[in-house]
Amino acid sequence: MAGSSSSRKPDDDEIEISIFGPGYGECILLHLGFGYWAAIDSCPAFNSSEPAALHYLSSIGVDPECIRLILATHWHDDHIRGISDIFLAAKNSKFYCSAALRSQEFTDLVILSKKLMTDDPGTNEFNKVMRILGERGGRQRKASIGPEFVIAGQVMARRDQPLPFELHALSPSSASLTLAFNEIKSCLENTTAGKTVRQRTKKRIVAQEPNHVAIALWLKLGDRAVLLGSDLEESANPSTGWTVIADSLVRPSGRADVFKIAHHGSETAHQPRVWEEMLEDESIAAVTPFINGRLQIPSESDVRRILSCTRRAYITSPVKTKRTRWANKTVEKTINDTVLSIYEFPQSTGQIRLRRKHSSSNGAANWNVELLGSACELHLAHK
Amino acid sequence: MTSRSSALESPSDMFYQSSNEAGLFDSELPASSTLEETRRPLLYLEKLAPKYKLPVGTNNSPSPGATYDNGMVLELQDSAPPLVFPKPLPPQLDHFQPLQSWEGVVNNVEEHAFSTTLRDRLKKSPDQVAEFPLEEVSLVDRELVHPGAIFYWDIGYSEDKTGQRIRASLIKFRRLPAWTTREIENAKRDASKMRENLGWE
Repeated sequence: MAGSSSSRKPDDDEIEISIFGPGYGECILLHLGFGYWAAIDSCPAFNSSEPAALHYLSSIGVDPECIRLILATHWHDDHIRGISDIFLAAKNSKFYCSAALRSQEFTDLVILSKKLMTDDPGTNEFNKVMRILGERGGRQRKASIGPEFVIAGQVMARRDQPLPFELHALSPSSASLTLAFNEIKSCLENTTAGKTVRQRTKKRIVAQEPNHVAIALWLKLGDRAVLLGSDLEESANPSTGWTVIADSLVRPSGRADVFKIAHHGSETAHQPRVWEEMLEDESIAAVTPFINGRLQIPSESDVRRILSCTRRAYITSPVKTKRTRWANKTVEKTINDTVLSIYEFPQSTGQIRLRRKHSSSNGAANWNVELLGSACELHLAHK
Repeated sequence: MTSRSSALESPSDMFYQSSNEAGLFDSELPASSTLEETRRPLLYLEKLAPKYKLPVGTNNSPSPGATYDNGMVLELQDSAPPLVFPKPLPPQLDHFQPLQSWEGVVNNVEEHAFSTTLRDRLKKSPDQVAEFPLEEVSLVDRELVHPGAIFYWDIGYSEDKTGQRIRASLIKFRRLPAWTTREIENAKRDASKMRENLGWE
């Protein structure tokens, strides 16, 4: 984030979409004009426990109290780290999360995790959010604080004048919601049940796959739109995933010229109809990688597939693993003798920053794309 | 509890020993000791038997009152094989000098391997994502390898009391207690209270 242009805050009539992705994690910051900011998910800034969103806002001189909307699209730890810190700092914000997290089983999981006192970011962040909600008035708090539980078809926020915008939730569908409730219930059972005492041993809570909780968003900016895919994956059930969105007769009309590609660009999140029916030709695509040891998304074939849909594709960080050089040769040798693979947890922070004047109406061509930190063009992701 | 002079119930009952070979037969078993306390499978007795003239695994009982090379006098019943009482083990004096230590969390378990996230316990190196073969985990810990399980991985030198040094990798799973019904009920009650207080419903 060096240089004067990168530290310039957007003008009042300037829309900004900033996508952060350190290689494990994702955060999106939106400036919707006149100092209205929204934070969607959270990940840490480079070499810091501070959320990337707060770190960036501080670097461009924006008060975190300008964040008016905070959304946790789901509770996986790569999307949630630091979201409670953002909520704490953003005193004028409203907290949104998936309606799937309204379930009794989810709050049971949060409390169980708290009692376990292990570092489980997914539930710990929600526990902190609940504490902040309590401090802001508990049951008597204003409705403007949230939480608001989001389901497909909901308009989460809107402004008519000046610089009109609407933020629509495209998921979870009602079928996804049922599956998500079952998923969370099953997660609770896996955490506390087991055939043997050893299997019932206390352990960290691990979210299950596939993810039916995630909230995909449609941001309408005048006559333009942006599609933010979260981690929503496609599934064999046409009442869930991207198929139900493509089939929907009530989703907002129009085509988006920016797409934050879902689920790190994986094959499981790809639905060709999204490209054909919901996006403009040569729309801008942004990907955040997911690097967890040998599991690396997007793969080279994912990159080829995305580039066949648009040439204007970017990634917040190259899909590269790095090995620590251990000063002690005995440690190095023993590690090599013991593990099948070992890589550093990804730490680089890249930012894809898109800015344009709200009045611009020239589609994707009008977005000014800046690649900051480790961000690069997608075709270089595996180079 | 079985007293020293009791008749043995099965042939296998007689073959227990200390893994400390040097200490075998050195002295009488303390009067307070029991067979249960010293019961370990015999590994070396057969090898040592000629030296000590023990009729191991045979029906050739020595004469009652026979004196052995180590001065031990056996009190035997007529048909019983000899009783051999090993010396209890002194505590092992192995010393482990850690060079690197991590706390790990299991992310995923496959048939022969499990993937983990490792955090340096001294916070001197970056977090790691590592995949281990299941065979690196001791058999007793294998059942604890579940997503979410917490373990420690230490690399260092293990040194025994003779000064022998061995490069070692030790994986030890945390044995947290199992959830009790009461704990789960308490957590659910707290969660219900929290939902009510926050209107999270």
